[in-house]
Amino acid sequence: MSLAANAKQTAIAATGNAFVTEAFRQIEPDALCAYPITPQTTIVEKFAQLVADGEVATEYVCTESEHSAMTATVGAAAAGARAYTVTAAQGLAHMWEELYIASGLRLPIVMINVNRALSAPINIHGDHSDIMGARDTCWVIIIAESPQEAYDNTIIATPVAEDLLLPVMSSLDGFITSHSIMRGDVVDDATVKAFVGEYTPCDDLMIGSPRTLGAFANLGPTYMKVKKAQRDAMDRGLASIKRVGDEWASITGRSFDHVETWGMEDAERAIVVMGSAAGNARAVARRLRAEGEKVGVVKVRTYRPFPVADIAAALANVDAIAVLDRAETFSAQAGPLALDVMSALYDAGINTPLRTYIYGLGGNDVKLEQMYQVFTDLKAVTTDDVSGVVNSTPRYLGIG
Amino acid sequence: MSDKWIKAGPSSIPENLDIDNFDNWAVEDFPIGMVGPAGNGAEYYTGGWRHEKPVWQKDLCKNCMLCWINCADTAVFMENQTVSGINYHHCKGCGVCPIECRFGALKMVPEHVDHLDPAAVAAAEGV
Repeated sequence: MSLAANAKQTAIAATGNAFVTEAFRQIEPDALCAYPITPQTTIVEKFAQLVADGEVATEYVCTESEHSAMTATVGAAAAGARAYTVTAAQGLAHMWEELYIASGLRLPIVMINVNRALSAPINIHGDHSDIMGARDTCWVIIIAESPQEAYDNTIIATPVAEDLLLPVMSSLDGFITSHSIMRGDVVDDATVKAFVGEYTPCDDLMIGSPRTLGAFANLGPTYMKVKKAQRDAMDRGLASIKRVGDEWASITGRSFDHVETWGMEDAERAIVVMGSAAGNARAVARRLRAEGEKVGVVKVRTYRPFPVADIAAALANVDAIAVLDRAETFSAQAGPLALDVMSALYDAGINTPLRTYIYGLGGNDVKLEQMYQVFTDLKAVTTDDVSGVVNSTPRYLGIG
Repeated sequence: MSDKWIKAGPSSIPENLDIDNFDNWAVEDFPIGMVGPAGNGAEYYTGGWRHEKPVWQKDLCKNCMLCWINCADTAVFMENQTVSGINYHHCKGCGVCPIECRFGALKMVPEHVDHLDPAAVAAAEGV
């Protein structure tokens, strides 16, 4: 069957949050249990309006906190519902224990996270500190660069979650992507419905005899064996995401790759980056290319599971690498994305000189001059006789 | 991963769950999400964790059921809305029931005291 043959796309101009809400409207999950938090509020407000107006049959539960939002989503999913939620920053942190429960119970929950800085101090703007707290939760994490990608990622998330029986986080940068209006294409309702398909839960606690979900696994190797099953599922993640992404690509004409490269065919210096700042990096890379500089940009779209092979392949032939992190580990030379990149390179036996950077924390403006600075730094590295990580601590961009 | 769990139907616990061989289960033998039978807490005796226990005196009891509703282990036996005793298999000796009882019908004594011997109970220091 070819969904592509009947798909119609309509161009709209909308914010990232509006695109995500539209994807939700079209998927029409059985349940949405959520609590409002900036910069996700326009999603839950709009979706609540859709429910109130009878435009979707979704059961909307407005919980009293994000911890309850995830608990309610877990409960709904365990009862056989296609259950989703939406959060950001402190909200994601507040539901931290429940993230492990969602993945440990193997519930195919889809969550939108609108990436925002974690307090303290309080900052409501976009950075990646919140999602980095979820790195090891056994959630699939896909990060959008633009409102269009946020729409596509959200639709792709559902079949992936239901294939792996793992929860999936589709994320977009707070304010920068969530609140900026960009042009994008949305697919018609029927095609989206057909793409995500009817939901057949693996288990449904509402049917059959009473049973326990998430039973005690206290003694001996039981817990570890169950975690291994999660690891095995995650190890199938890249193939599953790519397969679903390619199917969606055949409908929309917009390709999905775990890692998207620009100018990397003959780049000597490359920036690795995730999220909206990829656009800034490319904007500068284009200008430098026009001056004959051989630069490239590697954008990470699938963050968990980390696309080790794709990263190594993308960076195999450059002379210097910069990894830009929009979150901190506060440890050693690297932010979290840099740690993942470094281990991918080590795995491939690549020891190219690498510089690490921290940028855009708390929504700090990512100016083009910062990207110029990075490419200039890399130029110095290519002429020095160095290898491996060059700096002992990440360089902070944009704070003078 | 085994497809048997995805397609198992309404319940993902199979009929032939090999519980006796649990220690040797492979990773893929575990039901998705650790689904298991319900209500088997009744078979898991926790009474051995006590070092103090409540003793119930029927003649003082007014069947107000405060002990029953406050017991965290549902360890007060009820029959026909009448208290009939303490479930020593599951009572963990937390000591809440004597505090709740307004009529002195419950007393905590050290675990070694024979609760079926009224003289021993009377002689025991209330804990």
